Amino acid sequence: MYPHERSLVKRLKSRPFALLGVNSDPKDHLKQVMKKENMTWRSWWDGGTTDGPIAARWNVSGWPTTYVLDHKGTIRYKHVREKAMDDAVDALLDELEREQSGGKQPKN
Amino acid sequence: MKASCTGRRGFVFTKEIPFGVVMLLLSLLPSISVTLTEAAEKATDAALASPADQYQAVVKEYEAAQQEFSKVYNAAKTDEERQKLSDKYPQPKAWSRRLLELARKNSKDPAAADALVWVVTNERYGEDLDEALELLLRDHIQSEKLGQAAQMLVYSNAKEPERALETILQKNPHHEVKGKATFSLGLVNRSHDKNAEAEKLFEQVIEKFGDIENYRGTLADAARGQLFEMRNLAIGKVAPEIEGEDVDGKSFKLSDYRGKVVVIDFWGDW
Repeated sequence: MYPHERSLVKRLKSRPFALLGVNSDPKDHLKQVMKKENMTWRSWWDGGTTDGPIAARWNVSGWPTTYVLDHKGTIRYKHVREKAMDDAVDALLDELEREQSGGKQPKN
Repeated sequence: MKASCTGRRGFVFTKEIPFGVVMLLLSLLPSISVTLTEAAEKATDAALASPADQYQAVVKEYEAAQQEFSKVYNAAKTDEERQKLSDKYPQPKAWSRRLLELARKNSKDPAAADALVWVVTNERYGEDLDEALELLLRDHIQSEKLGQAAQMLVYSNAKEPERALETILQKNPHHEVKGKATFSLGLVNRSHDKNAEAEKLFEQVIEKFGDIENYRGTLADAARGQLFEMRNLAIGKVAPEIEGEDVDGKSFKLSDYRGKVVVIDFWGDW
């Protein structure tokens, strides 16, 4: 998963995109793994357990769990990994760019 | 002689030493083997008379097999070795079969309910799971042990989990079992996109069964989590705010990223 995320973040470096983690590891471990895996994206540190406040509020019961939000903050996809995540993000970026260039697009 | 020895082998596991001693005597004294065989069988039967003991023995045996596997697996040095070993994980099938047999033979004994709950917990799909569930509903519908079975039905591929859960709800008198079955029925409905029905069941859990302990917190916590997720974290909803600190203690918020496409990844390095 780290290689995929690294390549996604790298590929979309100049686009309006962010990968944000919510991490359940102990703090020291998180520091180590971010360094070792060269993670350039941010994670909220959720208290060092899977019972952390963010995961609890979001009712997360399996890891990893992913959400993809559009530029308005609306949840558009859930539980997408690897290629499905890339496709979801690309579709939303296209949508955003069409909107910004003034082109009307059908609501779906 | 030989046939009777191997035929009984599976049952003798916990009483290995006495049985072994008897067999040794048998081999030394062939002339009185008949008497001794009978004695050995009687001793074995007496020792294993209680279905509860038999249940415990089978479960312990499975746990020992798992521990043995973990030991070997953890000792493996390379990914390749681990990959090879992963096929050798002790599948519960053989143990499930023995527990089903025990439950069939002792349908009135409470240990049969334990045995069947074990099968329902450990088998993800297939005829053994289906039979165990049928027997639980037929012979042990009033058992206080059905709570765990009700929980497991959400995650298994049992036939018609709704019907099983509804039967438990109608016929089982225990508060805890009913609560777990209600929550499970909510989850099953939710997984089939029957959201109105699911919400009603989760509301019921909060109202009537909120006090029951669940894996994390109480059933009320779990039901509130489900309702929050259905109402606020569904596709098409604006994501709730996240506020917290990164690994260096710097605060940041999800709404800082409005205007961008965002992937939120709940992760752990395990």
